[in-house]
Amino acid sequence: MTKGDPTPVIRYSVRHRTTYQYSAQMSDGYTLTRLIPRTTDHQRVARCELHVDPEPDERRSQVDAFGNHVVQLGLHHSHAHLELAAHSDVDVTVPAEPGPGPRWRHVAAQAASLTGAAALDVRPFLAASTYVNLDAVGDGLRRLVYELAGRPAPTIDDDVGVVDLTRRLCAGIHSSFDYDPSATDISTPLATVIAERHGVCQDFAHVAIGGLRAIGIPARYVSGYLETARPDGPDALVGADASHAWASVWVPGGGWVDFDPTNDLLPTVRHVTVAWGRDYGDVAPVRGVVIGPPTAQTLSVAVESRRVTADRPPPGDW
Amino acid sequence: MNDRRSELTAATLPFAGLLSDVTVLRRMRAEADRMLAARGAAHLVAVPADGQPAPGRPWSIDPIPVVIDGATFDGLAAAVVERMRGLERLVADLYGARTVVQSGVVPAEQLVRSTAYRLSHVGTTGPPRWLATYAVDVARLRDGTWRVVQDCTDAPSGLGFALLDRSVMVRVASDVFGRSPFGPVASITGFGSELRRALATVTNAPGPRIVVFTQGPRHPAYVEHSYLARHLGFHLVEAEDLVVRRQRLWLRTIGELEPIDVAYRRVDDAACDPVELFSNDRGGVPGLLGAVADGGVMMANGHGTGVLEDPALVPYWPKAIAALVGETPRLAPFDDAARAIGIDATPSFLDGELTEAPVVIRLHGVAGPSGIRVMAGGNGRVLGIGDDPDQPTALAAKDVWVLGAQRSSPVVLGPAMAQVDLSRSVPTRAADAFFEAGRAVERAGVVARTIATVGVRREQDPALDVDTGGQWGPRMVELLRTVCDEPLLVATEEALAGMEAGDHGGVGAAMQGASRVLAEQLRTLVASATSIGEYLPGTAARVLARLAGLRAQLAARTVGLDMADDIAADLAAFDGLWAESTVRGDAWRFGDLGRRLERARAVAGLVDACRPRSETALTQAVNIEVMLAVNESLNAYRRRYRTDIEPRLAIGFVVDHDDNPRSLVSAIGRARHHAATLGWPDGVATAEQILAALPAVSRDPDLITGVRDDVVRFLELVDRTWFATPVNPIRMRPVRGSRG
Repeated sequence: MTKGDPTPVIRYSVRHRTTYQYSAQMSDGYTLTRLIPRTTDHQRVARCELHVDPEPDERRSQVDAFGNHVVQLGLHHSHAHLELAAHSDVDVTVPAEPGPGPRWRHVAAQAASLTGAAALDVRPFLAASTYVNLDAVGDGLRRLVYELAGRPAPTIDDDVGVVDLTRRLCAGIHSSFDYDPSATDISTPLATVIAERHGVCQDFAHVAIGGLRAIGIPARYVSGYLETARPDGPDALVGADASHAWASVWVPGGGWVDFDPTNDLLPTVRHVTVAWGRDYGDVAPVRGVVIGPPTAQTLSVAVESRRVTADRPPPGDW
Repeated sequence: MNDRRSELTAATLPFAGLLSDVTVLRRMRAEADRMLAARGAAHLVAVPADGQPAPGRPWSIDPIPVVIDGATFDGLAAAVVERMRGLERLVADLYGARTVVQSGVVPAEQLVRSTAYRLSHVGTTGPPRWLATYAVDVARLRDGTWRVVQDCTDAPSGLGFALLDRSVMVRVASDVFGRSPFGPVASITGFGSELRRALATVTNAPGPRIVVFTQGPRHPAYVEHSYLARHLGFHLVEAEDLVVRRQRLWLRTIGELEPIDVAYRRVDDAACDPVELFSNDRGGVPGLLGAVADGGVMMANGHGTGVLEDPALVPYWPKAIAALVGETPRLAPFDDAARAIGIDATPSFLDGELTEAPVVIRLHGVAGPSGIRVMAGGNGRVLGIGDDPDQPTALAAKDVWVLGAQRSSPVVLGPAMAQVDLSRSVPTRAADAFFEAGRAVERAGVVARTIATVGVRREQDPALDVDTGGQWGPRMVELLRTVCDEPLLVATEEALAGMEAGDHGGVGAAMQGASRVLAEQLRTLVASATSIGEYLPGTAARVLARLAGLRAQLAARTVGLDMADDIAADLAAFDGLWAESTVRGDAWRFGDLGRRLERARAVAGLVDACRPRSETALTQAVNIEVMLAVNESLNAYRRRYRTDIEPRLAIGFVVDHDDNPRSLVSAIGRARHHAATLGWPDGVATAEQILAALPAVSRDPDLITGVRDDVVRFLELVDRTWFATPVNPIRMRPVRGSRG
């Protein structure tokens, strides 16, 4: 893009299907979903529908403490499968390339002393959380940050900008961790991910936010989608055919800057945000219980996120 | 140094004459134990349900109370009111405006990392009252100052124990009560209605339906939950009794769902709702917190109040409360300085000796329509050596006496609460427990009587098996197997092989197996009856406690004849309470249905095992006599027929003789009546089908096997029709990103 062009807006059409199959008939099911993309500084949701099969007996929409959309479903009749299909059209503006950011030491000091509304908005993302247990792995994460972001390692000068530091950390995770879906599962502790240096997007996002929090910088976990590779393009990204996860760092004066350690991207350019929170636990796409006889369950997920030509020009205020 | 002697001791001195006599104390202690057992506080101890010993009463009672003079109590009560009010303001702020977070007094990052802080409640309309009940542990130091050891806000326990302990102490110490030179001891009996009112205050619903929500008999304070439910007249419910629909909480009852307005939550907040992220694997009610967030049901205390107890956050509270209410708490915390000074010692009766020990006192406040009320009593807990004051080992509990009648909770005469008649509704689980208890009492009875009858016979007639050509022993083994409804495999093989000489063909081994079955049935009986204790007459607990004790002995060895007799007698006592002292609602009806059907099965089994086959007349007569004896019909038969035992006549007497209350026809007739009362046509039809088959049995005893199968199918039909209970929630697999 050249200077003076209007900020480009890309419309993504996202189809996300999650299917559970049970080996027995369930009599009841209670499900909380976070599948409807939220509005952010960089995206606007033009349309979103959540199709549920079988038709639920109860369905409620609400907004959680982080502003994410939650749809609560109650299925009170016999069923052996549950299919959740979210179709959304999302207009995304590509964020501008950020500068180096304020000095990271300064950011850490500022974050810990925020008051007023900012204390509510930002300080929760300094804390240890369910999947980012700083009590157990804080020291390890701190060492990791100094190793991956130090120039020369393990030294990070006090005047390094917080965005630059994050950029280095993002690249460091990308280059020193192996992407390996077979290596971890949802219950793999962060300590294992750090020690063995492999995992999936979720694990890398937790390493990134854990590393930043360990040195006092607020960071949050983001769930969403990556653009599916164009058939003619060589630019396939990891995580495009499933839901994806990345991280976001707090930059005073500049808001939050998203980055994707799985693909070494800062800022994120082909991403559609669904929800954010302290870690995976706050944004799990589907959580719930079923009631019935002991059952085997299979879970399958399919995601497609494609650019479409907007059938109308973007709204004027974009 | 006499100054160091506490006011507590000084206040106790007037009682010293009575309370320093070890003999008197020992008698009081024994009496207290006996009465606690009678009130249901002890029998749980002996009932391992899943291999783990079940928790009973956490500690026994020390007959020497903690005595607090009126003025001291007034100061403490003011502190309780102040703290409860301050904590209410604080928790409302933490889930509401969060001004203390915005000002930095409570660091946001510390707050959200607490596993007891429920982010999901932030921004929702909070309950009218977060803290309906509150408890605080206080201790008096050697320097005479009082300190706060801890606040209890999530599901404060002890209030029910205080009422229970007082009801025992009033009787044990009747000699002492009312004779204090300071005036009488404050009564706490009115506090139950204060609690009831406080629970009604957390909702705007008129005439609210309130339940006591417990984690069940495995919870360490279940005795208290059960006592409170009885005392308050509320249903005692467990997670499986409840279901969430349309953002409301409902009680599963026989026939329908009843809406619930307030759940008096005796359940840790992590065990409330398995859908929630922080939930543990202890079950819960799926969707409950969604209903709470929507205001469809109120919890008392509010869900999320546990955050006030988080030790990592407690240090921030004094400043936060001061910021909200503009005053600093009058009682200082039990800090290192307090630890160094030490808790004052109080006279105690431990291990049969009069001694002095440090005591922590739990005081209770409830927030009712007319403000906060503080119980003029509480729980004193004796600390063991090296005990942390907030985690005392189960040493002994003390009643807390406040001197001065003017401090007693008045009997509340405020506007009457609208009454909701929940007496017709029976939680499905309670009906199921009644059914199981009814079955177990009957099965235990028949097994105990069989063991006693066969055992006596064997003792009286050591040569019986030889005299009958080896026919008697195997038949008795078959009988034991039938009444136990278990193969008793080892015994059977031994019996068939006839290996064990002098054992009447394996009867001894079969009796060993039968005592195991008896122990199992007693366990089921005590466990089921415990979970429906609020429906049973008070005396039932005493009988159950005795049965639990006998069961514990049984588990260790084969039942002796005396013990089988004792068990049969206690079961008969339970029978009497069942028949004469239990209100005959639908709950009782299911219990009686279980009993009648199980009795029908037992009679059919007896006839099947003892009916004449190809034996000698002598053997036939012996077998039939055993049948009559086990069925408790021998004397009745003799009085009626005044003949030697004639098999056909005897079988007719236990199968289709209307006048014999222990006959099959009587049992099925009662079952038919219950089915009709429940409005259950399938049950009536099944009963009538069995009744129609009975007359033919005395002509052809071989037909009894078909009758027995029909009775078993009837039992299964009840289970399927009424108690198809929900199974435990199964978690859906988590979705993982990136080709997970």
